[in-house]
Amino acid sequence: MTHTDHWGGGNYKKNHSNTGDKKSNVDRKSYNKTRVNHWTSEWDKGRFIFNKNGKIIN
Amino acid sequence: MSDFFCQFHCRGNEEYSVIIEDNELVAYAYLYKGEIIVGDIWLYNQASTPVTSEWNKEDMPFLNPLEFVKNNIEPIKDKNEIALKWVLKKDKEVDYVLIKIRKELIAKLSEGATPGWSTCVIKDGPLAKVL
Repeated sequence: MTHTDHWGGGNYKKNHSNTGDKKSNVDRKSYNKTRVNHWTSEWDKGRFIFNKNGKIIN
Repeated sequence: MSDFFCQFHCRGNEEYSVIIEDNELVAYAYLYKGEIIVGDIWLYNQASTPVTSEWNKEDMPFLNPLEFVKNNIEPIKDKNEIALKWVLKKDKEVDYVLIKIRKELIAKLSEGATPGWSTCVIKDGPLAKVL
């Protein structure tokens, strides 16, 4: 199967049943809290440590 | 400026989902396991790409600075522009998820990968690694 056969012309959804196209039913308030907590945690872990020149260290 | 928000469930394991959010400034995809974010990846900047890296905690999620951006794609307008390929392990846990936008491979998410991988960055950074 070529790349086009796999992904193209709507074939991907025909070839895979788990493409995940359900409408969102997420609770946006809960989502926002989760997202904020995630980024805060990543910040606290040092993901965005940078030097005085603004260059990222990690 | 336009915003976008959509959740895509993994039909092979409903515990997993991907949420793609464009908040009119920047777009990210998040891999969820239940209600916990287990992976994230920057997708594109909708606001002007910053020339310098100014990382203030209050500004999260961040725009990706110019030094990292190779290709800044157009914002997502509709969920039909998005195709996900879920790859599962034998135990049905998610191995990785590929994200295509308008038929172009853009990003890869995996559990524990913060950040994940992107075809739109020129070098590894805190928001994306090179795919």
